[in-house]
Amino acid sequence: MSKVKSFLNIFTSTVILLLIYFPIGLVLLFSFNDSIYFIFPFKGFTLKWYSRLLEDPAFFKSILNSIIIALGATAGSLSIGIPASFSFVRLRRNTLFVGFIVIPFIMPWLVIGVSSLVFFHTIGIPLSILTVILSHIIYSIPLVVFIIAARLISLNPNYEKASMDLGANELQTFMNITLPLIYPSIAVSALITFLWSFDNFIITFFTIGSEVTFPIWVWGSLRHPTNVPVITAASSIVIVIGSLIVYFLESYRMRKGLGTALMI
Amino acid sequence: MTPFSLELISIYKNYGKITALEDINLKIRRGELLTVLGPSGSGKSTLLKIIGGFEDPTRGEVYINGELMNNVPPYRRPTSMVFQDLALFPHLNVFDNIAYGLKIRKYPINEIKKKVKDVAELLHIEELLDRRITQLSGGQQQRVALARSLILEPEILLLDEPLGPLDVKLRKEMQLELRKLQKNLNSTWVYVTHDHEEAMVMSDRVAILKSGRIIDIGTIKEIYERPKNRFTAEFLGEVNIIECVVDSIDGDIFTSTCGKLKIEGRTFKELKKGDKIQIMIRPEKVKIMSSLNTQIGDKNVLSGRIVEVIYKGAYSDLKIETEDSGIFTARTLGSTYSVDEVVFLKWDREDVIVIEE
Repeated sequence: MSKVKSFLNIFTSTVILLLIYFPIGLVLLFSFNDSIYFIFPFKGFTLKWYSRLLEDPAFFKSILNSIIIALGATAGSLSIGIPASFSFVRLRRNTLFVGFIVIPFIMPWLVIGVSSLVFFHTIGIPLSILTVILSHIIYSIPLVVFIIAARLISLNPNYEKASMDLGANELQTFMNITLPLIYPSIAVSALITFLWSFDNFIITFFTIGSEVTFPIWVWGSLRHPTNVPVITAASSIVIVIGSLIVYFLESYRMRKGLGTALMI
Repeated sequence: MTPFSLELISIYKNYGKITALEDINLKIRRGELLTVLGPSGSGKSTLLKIIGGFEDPTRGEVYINGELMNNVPPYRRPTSMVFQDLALFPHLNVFDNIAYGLKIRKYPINEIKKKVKDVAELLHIEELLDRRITQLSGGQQQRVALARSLILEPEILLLDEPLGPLDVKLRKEMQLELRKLQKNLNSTWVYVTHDHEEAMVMSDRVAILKSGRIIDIGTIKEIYERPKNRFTAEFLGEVNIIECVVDSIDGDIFTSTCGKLKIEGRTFKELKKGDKIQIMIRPEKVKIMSSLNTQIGDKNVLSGRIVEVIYKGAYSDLKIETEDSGIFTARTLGSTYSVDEVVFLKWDREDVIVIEE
């Protein structure tokens, strides 16, 4: 390996370690620290933040709400985004359509949040988990369309023609040929939509009313300094569970010999 | 039952202002292999798409087995297509690719297995049934694509330059094998290609397509030896085309003047004195001699200087510069001639072909 290459390798891994994993590692570390301040040296090992967390029903409620919202947003944006991708790619009458699809993508989340709030207020829909799901769907659709349309554009149209030639009608062709071939792009957009929605704070903040999601719960807890270590415990749990899910997905993928999830 | 698998009646296809096909009339007998030969952009693929049902003709009628097929979708037509890029389903293995049509038709699994086994044997791919498509060579993919279509026993098999990406040797083998297969199955094939040598090996009949029109059709022998027009003559190999004026006619023998050259030939067409005609002489019909015992100025005799010798292995093509007929091509099996040599050319009047324009 050339010197430039090995330098680049070391450089990249160092940057990733320092910028991403070091802060995460600190959070994990301090969730076991017997102090409410984030300063070295350690005061001592404790699990009390974890037990405080697990005694807090608001935490579980917020996680449950976040999952419901993320699932709803994913289902909603896929069921609109997949047909939209097809009409975008196949009909080719797309100039205006692309513009409309892109707008939520380039609009600041703050603006989406505020305008959603105004919209729901104006037409008289009370704020709830449902309004959060609706506003998340709005900003996820462009992402879904971009990812799936990219795959559809590169899909050889002769696969579908061959299928019809061999006797399959449009629906059979879609189920047997098109869907399996674009499935990875659907999975990826579903995954990203789920994570975006789960993480989202700004839009959620404006559209949720009195309910609590996980990011909202974290934000609320931050205002009480004594609660901050509890947040590190909560973050640690979310990080560990997330990493485990990624680990199992990756090992499943490697067993199946599929391309990487992001290689749509 | 009609003896024709396919009848195309006055087919037109326009894309906006562009005319892709113009007044195509074609009848293909059951069991016939018709090759559609033409340069790229001549409308060959469009023609196949119209037969297969992927495109609707702007005008005209498509009959398959005597039944009108306009507006019938591809999945209800008794045709099957082998695509130029084969379009094998990449997420299915070889078995599932071949079985696809039968599975869609909900055949019982035992019958599917038997039929797949039979067609795989026919095409010598029994060993490959468990493989993924990406693990196959070009030639193997070719066979799988054929098997996937043939298993459905289509009334008409459509092939869109399927041998294009193969190397020359494999292509020649596949041509012979395909031809044999088609004869054994006695099925109707429409084979599209731009390679005239492939057309010669493969076809019962050849249709020459140019700019969306069929400009010549017949057995390969007919159109090679007696092409209707200059395009066909030139498309099917080296040819000398000479412009002449008819001098006299005696029965079906005519004589004509082409500059200093006099050509005598037989015609099957009404000619009269003063007619301007185009005469075709194939290079392999020309005899090359170092000396001549007849006079220059005699009929069907020419002299010139060799300007180029193109060695082609089994034969050589000589490019001969004549006094006023430009460059003349003659073919020789030996390789004894060299550049700047003066030679005499001679041909029989039976080898003089008047091209109908």
